[in-house]
Amino acid sequence: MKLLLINSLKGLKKKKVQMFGIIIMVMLSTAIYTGMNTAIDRLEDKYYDYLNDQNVEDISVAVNVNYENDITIEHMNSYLNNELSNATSEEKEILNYYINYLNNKTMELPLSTKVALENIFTKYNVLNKIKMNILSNISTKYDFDYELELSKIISEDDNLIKVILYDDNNEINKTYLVDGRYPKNENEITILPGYAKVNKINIGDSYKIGDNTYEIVGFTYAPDYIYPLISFSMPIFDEKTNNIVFMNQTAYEKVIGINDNSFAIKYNGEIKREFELNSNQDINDLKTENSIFKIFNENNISFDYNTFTRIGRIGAVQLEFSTDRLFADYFLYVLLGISVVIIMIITKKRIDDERLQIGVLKSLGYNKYSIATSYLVYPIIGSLIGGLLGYLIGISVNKPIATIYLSFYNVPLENYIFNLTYLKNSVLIPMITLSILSYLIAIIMLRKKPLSLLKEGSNLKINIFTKLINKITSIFKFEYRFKYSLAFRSIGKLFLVSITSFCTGMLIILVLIGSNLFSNVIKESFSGMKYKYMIYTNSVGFEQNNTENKDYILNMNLEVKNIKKINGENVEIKEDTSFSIIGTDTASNYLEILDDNNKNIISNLTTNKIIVNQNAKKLLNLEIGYIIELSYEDITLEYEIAGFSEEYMGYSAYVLRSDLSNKLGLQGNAYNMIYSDDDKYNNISDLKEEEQQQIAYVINLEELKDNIMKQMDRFNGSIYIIIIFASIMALVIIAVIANIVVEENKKTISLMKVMGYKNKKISNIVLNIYTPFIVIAYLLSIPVTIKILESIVSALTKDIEMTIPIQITPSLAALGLLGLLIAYYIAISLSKKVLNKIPLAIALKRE
Amino acid sequence: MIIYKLKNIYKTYTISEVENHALNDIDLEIEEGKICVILGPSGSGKSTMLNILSGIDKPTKGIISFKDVRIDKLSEEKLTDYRKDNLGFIFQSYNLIPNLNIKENIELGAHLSSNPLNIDELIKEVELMNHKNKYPYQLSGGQMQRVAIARALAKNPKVLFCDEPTGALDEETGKKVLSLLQKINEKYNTTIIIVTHNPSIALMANTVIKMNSGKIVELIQNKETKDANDLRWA
Repeated sequence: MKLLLINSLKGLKKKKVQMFGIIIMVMLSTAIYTGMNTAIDRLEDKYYDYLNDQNVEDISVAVNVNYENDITIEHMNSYLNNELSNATSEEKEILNYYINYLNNKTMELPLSTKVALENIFTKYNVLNKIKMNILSNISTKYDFDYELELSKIISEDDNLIKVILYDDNNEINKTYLVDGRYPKNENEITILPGYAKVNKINIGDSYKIGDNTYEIVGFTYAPDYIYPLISFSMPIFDEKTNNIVFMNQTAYEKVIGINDNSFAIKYNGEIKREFELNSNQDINDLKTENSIFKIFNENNISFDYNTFTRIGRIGAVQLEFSTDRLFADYFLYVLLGISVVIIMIITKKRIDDERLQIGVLKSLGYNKYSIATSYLVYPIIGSLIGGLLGYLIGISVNKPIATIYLSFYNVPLENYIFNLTYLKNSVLIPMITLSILSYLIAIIMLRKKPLSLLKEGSNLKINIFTKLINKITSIFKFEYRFKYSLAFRSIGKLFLVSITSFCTGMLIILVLIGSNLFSNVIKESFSGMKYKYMIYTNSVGFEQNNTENKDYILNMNLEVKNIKKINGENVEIKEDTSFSIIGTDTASNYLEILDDNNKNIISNLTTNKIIVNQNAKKLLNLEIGYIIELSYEDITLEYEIAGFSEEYMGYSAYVLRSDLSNKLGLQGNAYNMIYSDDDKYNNISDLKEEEQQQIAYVINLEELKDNIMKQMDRFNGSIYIIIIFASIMALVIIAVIANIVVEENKKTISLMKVMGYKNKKISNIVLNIYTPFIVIAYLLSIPVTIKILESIVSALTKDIEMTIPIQITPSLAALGLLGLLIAYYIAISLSKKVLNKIPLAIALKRE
Repeated sequence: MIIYKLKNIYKTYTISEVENHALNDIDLEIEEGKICVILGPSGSGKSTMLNILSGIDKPTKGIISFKDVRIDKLSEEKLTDYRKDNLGFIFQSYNLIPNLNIKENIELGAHLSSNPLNIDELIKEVELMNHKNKYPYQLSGGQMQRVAIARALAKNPKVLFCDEPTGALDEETGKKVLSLLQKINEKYNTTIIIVTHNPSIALMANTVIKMNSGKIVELIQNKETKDANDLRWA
């Protein structure tokens, strides 16, 4: 046995390319496995401590006031004597009507009155007090703490800044100091460390916000902004332009920005942290009895879209951790799988080459088990060297990988901690997997009797498949027949090359589609929007004289009660399905509702008509003429579908604004959103105070598009890296195969040289045999990838009510094929040198 | 006409710093259209001689000409052309391509020539018409060697080099193969150079070159040659 092993070890020197291929595959897989897992460890371990230490909220809410129940007469009297004492006579009339209502609840309280009350309470800063009372009433019963978080959003030049009032008495969402100190004085602030690093700002430097200049005294994180989504104008965090600033009370009051206040809730009991991003979560499905959702639902505190966005800010990183770990593990096993196939081919070839020796050994009395053991040399050495190298590489890249995460997530980074598991897994998993499988393969291949191995020409037999292929290819010219007979001689190698090309093709197509995916959705979604700014107001307003070029919009989220087909049958819909209804005027300055022929169908909007988006059409199987019944509180609104808009996000629909207002019992000119081109909305400080007070937030569409497109560039950069990586992988595998092909055909190559064939011709015949199979495998991967991607995207986006069209252009597909073929030709050119060196004397050797 | 001229040919190999003189001062002329046998025991230098004559290897010293063209001076590419245009080879181990059938194996040789011989006629010549679609693993040793001969002939070479063509065959099959070689020599006027350690084969040759220790120890011109079928193995 010892001699057999020594013999195998000596043989390694001659099989450098094949050994190198195995080492590379093992090294790549373990490097990525170790690198990603150690990087995530550094973040994840710290993340949970961070949530505890900073007492991060369980949830934050924008409390909705139920005017029927949430305010008492005592409260109203107190407000009237204090904050509302300066209300105008018109406002006092409304307030008195409300007090009468509170005394006699059989009176009507129409929506218009509620809207008016909300405007008054906002104006006189009473609304937050009312909301705090609501929370206070239930906080003892359900044992949670709450705090009002005051913040403002400022858009300045290219920067988007969230200014948060720093209060060292805060118990929930305690600010995390990275470096320096907290702001004490009016002219002091802290900023994000990532922003500081990218913009080369140090502690002690000055920083300007609006007309005020501050001194930077420290770097801090806001722990409820782990994913720092500050504004929907820039949904994708940009480290260079997005900043979170803390300042003291005095400084905060002077800053002009859009108010973005919410209540942070921290539950003291045993409750599961619900990081659920689905705004259509069915509360009845929640397993936990004491779920916050259930509690709030019972107490009429509703969750708006922003609630779930805020949850996402804290919880999104967890999804990242789990999916990335899965990716790292998956990658390890995929590359090991490929290594197994390579080892299979190498083992088979070795056994074929050594069949005479094996025959002799068996005749002498060696059994197949001891002979098979000598074939373990490849997997053991390959996994030992590859695993160790991969582990070391993984350790050295864990910091850069962690830094990439930090550019997206604001979480403190733990120091590197040695974890023996990754070292063990990097070496042992490949070693055990590859060794066991090679051993089994060798046992199977060594099953032949000694005599049949020793028989002259025992290696000449060909399989039925080769004979069949030779029959089929008999119509081709000699060179092609010869090529394909060589290709089909080894089904294993052909299979490996085809599968490699197929998988590489899938990866390439996936990233090429991915690069187009979101840009197409963005293109389609933005195509009808001609405005620059989308302004959300704090409450419903009423249009006065529209002297400016503005579009007034009434945007309501309405629940679907029912959808009826033309024949009266009901369409199946999930409970709690809702639509974002956009009430617009047909004479719009900025809005075009485009159908799939790119035609503007806004004129289809008349009374009782609705235009639904493509996403809803596809997911709910809607047709023109169907009747949709929507509800808001106890009001039912009925519309007939008059068309479909080419938009893919969520369920949304357009109706006539005046029609919607009237159906809701409001005046016909109600609005809660504005579309405008006016650049005054870019800088809130330019607005009148009254207007500032009315604005909840502003989305700058240009900024939004820029933000997404900038991230697309980063995304595209990583796409090319993935394509290059996939091509390198294909190159390594094909190079190993080509090397084996040359070795296997040494005698044929030598013979052809002796006969007078030139090296170039020999290369063309012997090496360049896989081109059509690679092209076919790649072309097959295109529809398969599209189909798989469509299923995945459909499953993923079903819950967030979104459809994304999957498509790839011929030019992109050709680009992918080019990448693959370049890898192939590089791989075979590496083997050409080996081929050219094969001596002619081999043909003369006697067997 | 003299087809090969060798003058002062030496070939030395250095293996682990030890010099091995495979050929020592060889002077030789080979006539066109004759059967020539290079005879000698193992290590006599006969395979080296074959390599030098066929351009597979180059001499360390000396001059070798093929039809007055010095082949010792040719580049690798020119040597390949020389072999392609003029030579055919037959090996002891046949060297057939396992995944090509008989006809295709012969085509491998024909493919090199701009004016090859007719493949079907060659197959008939070697008496394998009933086996032309078979694969090498389905043939006996003698049949495989006949395919190899047909392949070598397909490009109508001027010289046919045979390296121990009967080494792996029994006497009867071996004589059939030799008989075929004689037939080819007569029909196509192909110069046939056979390297062998079997002295019986020398009787069918016009010229016998006996070698030992890298030298020509005897050069015999047979006035009469025997038919291959009448040979008796030693």
